[in-house]
Amino acid sequence: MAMPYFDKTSAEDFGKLKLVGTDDYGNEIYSLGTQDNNLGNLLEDLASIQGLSDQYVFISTSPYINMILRIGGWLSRSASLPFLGRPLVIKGLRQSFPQLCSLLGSPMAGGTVS
Amino acid sequence: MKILMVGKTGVFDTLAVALGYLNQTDIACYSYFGDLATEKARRILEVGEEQGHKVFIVNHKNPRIIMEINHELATLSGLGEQESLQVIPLSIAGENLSWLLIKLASLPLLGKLFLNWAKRRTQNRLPFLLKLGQDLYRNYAVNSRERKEMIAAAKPIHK
Repeated sequence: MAMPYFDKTSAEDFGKLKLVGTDDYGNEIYSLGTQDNNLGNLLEDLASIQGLSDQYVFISTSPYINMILRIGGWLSRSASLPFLGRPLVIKGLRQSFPQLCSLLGSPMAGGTVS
Repeated sequence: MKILMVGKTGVFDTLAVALGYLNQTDIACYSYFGDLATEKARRILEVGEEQGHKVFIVNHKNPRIIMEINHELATLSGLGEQESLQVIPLSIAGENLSWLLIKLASLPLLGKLFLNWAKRRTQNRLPFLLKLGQDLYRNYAVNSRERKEMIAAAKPIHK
């Protein structure tokens, strides 16, 4: 809840990189909304064509976005009913939080997760 | 300069527009034309080169988002306009029906019917799509140095 963009983004924020913080290794962590859960290849190609592959690691969180989180997010942001949606977002996020945290293991090991 | 054309359909209508831009006409010689697996993989494909401009295509339901993402990546990495990929989000008349047919092409049993329909549709619209690409070339590539904003030719979406 204390995160700066938590349940506060709008449709105009899709495609915009939001700086969330810096990890223990000094890497800047950004979040990106894409309106699409199958954008890994495209993002990697975008970076590759411009010679930026070594600067970015793209990690898709879509596999861990559960139905409660989806419904809550839609109610809160699209339907503008945050008093209904936000509790669902929190509940859904609590459920998927351990899996989301486990995602961090792969890129630190040197791989790319998309 | 590298140019990425983003349309709702990649290896269908957007490919045809890219061919028009490159002043080519034979869409059938591209092995990935109408290939559903390539469309779904959502990889950026290089179509060709014209006067030092490499042209790429990809599909996304909201092309403007790809332009926004690319702008963000280039800004964050400190790339200048000449070094960075120029993304042209396309809005092609009639593309929504092609997009729907491609979605229906994933259906079991009947899918192939819709896929062939989508391919035929692109081929039937080829003169129109090639013209869009040629107009885009005239308005985008030729005037790129003086370009302050894109003129609606192949109807690129204005930011």
